Amino acid sequence: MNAMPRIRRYVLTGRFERQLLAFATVGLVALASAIVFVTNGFLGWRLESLGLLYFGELSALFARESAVVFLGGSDDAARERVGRITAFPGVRQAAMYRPDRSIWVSSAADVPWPPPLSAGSSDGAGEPTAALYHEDGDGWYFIAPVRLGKEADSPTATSETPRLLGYVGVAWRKAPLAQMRQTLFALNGLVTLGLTVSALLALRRLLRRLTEPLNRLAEVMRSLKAGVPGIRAATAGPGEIREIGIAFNALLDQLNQHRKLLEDSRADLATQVAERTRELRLALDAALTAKRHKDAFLSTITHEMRTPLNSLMGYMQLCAQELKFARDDLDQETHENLSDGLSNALASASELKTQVDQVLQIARIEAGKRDVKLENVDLAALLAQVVSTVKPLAERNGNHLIFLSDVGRTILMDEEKLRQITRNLLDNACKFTRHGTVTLAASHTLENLTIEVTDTGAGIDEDQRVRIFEPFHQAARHRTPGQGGIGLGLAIVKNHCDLLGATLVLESAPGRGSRFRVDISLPVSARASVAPEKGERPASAAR
Amino acid sequence: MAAVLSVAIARSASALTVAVLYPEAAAPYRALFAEILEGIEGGLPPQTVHRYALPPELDTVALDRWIDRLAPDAVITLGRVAADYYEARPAKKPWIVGALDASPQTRPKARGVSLAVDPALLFATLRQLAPTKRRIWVVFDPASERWLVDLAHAAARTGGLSLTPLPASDAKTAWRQFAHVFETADPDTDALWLIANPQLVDPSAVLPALVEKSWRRSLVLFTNSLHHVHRGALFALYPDNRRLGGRLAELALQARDAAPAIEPLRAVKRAINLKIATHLALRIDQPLEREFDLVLPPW
Repeated sequence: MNAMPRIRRYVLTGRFERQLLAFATVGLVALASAIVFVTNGFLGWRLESLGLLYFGELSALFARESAVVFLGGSDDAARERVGRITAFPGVRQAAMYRPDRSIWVSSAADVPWPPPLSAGSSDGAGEPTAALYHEDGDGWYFIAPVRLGKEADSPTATSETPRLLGYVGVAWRKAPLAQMRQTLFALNGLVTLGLTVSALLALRRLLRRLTEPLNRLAEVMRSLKAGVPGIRAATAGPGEIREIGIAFNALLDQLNQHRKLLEDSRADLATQVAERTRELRLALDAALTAKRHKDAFLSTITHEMRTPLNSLMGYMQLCAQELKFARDDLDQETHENLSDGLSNALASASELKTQVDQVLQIARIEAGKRDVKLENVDLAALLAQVVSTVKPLAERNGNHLIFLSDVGRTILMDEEKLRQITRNLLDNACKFTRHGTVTLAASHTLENLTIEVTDTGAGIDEDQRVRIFEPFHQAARHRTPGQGGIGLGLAIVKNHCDLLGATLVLESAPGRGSRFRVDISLPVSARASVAPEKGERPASAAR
Repeated sequence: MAAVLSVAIARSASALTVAVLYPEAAAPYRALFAEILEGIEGGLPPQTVHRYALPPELDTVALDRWIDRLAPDAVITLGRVAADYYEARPAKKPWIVGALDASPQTRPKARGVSLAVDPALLFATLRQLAPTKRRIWVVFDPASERWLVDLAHAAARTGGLSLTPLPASDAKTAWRQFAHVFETADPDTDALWLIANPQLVDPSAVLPALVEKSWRRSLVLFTNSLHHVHRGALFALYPDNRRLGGRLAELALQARDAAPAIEPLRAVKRAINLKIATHLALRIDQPLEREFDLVLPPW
């Protein structure tokens, strides 16, 4: 059942020569079979026709030669004649009939003869020469009239009336004819088979000759696929194959040229990549070295700056204290001038200290010192302290600072980082808002703490909303003269948010202000310091 | 004879009309009738003979009309079909039968020439070829061949021969008579005359048996049929068709005056089978051989 699909697949996916040979074989075998069967059918029919004609003629001849026996009327002569007829090859039985068709003499008395079909006329004038009147599995039964005068049908004879003497019956065996038919059938089959095989062999040879160039071309392609170098297709054989070979060779030449170009380009590229890699490695080494030097420098410088700055601020606060006590020793104007100057110097020193702290903070962050220190924090006090700290800056820029607090208990938090987040966001809002409103809103639940800083300042452009969280980056609005800062505040905010596992969301519209929202999930884990380094952007912009 | 013929021609040439009825026969009979017709036309003045070829499906009405319109002085019928037709026709002109094995016994009202050869000519040839033969056996049909046997008796007496005629009315009787001949005849002195009568001697069945028996017994067999010579008879006398036609023409000229009578064939050719002659140890020299019109070689 499954053989046919396999054979079909074998033939249809096989080589061209096999397909052609398969189709030709099927066609030739079908044709040969048809020829054999048609020829044998015709030969069998023709052989039987000729055999019957031959048997009829022989039966008529036996009848003519038996005429004198009928004329003599001797039983012995009749038996002898019947015996001679029976001895003829192919004759099974013979008999002689009287004119009334009754048996006169029969060769085999024990074998019954089929009766004649009808009682004939007494003179037999209308009888044919010989006729097949019965047939069984073994033989044909002919009956031939024996008569005189029929051949004397001459226009010069006085009378042409024939006279019937009797009949001769001859039974012919079918076996010899059947044997001859089988022999013919076998011979015809053998000859046809031989011719078919010869034709197939010749066809196979022809197909091989025709498909050999194709096979050679396929072999060339296989060798090419296997990577055999210097392979070429033959340009001999039939015209079409020759053209294919020439085209294939031209294609091979083009491929070789392209491959050579590609290999040259690849070598150049590899050289260039190696050169660039070496340069990049040197640059990286230099950059890393420079960064280490920068970090060390920043740390050192910041520390070295902070110590005298603290001393300076301490001395200035001491001077301010002393100036209060010397109010009576100085005139009022001088006292006010000195007091204002000292106050400004103290504010500038404080600002400078803040920036130095920020630089130090960034340096520490980049140095990998990113630990979270949890402690109980009085959230309301912390926020109020921050608002108090920022308030002078807000007033200096003519801003109205609003503090909306919905917090009233102590939580477990890194106080310093929360302070810096809130302080830096408020500093940033107050610094870049003129005569506007800056609002700090804080709320918390058992699971969440939200710090939200809103301003009515210039807002931040779309393309700046991510970069403003990078260190030392200031948006265009930040670089407005008079608006200080070194671009570290928001970078620190973002870094601290990452450490606390908080999300930082920025919503801003140019000319309408900005809103920074920090959501801190509670409780904060001490291991929340593992913040995303790359690809993750906790801070996002909206609106 | 020539004078009488000349007178007759002179007397009747001006108004004589002879109708010739003959069958449209196939070969070899076509040539036979053509030669007889040539002989008839050669024996009569020009414009005298009017032919009518009888088709296989004979239209007797048309033929009657043709004869009535022609109103011939004599009618010559060639072959059986023409003879049967004209014999059945009620009003008859003088009628001459030809090309038919006619017998005065069966056609008493007709004149003409039978295809049965005059026995005198046969016996003369026998004496010429086999002078030792003294007795001639013949099987005949008394109903139609008695007249021929009568002629044979006369010819035998004239030639110093004895004739033993054996009557047979059918083929079986004839076969028994032939068997008697072969049992009784002395091959040294006897010969068998075979009359070409298919009713007694069937050409396909009986003739080969007779030839075989005569061959075995070395009995001389002679006949009036060329066919028999081809099958194994020693010699035969057969019709010379043109001369036969001329004789029919003579009879047509004499038809007004003569009484009906059928005469044996005397316008003959001769044929001999040298193979049989050699078997019979007959000495046939070259001059004698040249006297025969047809010689079948001894191989």
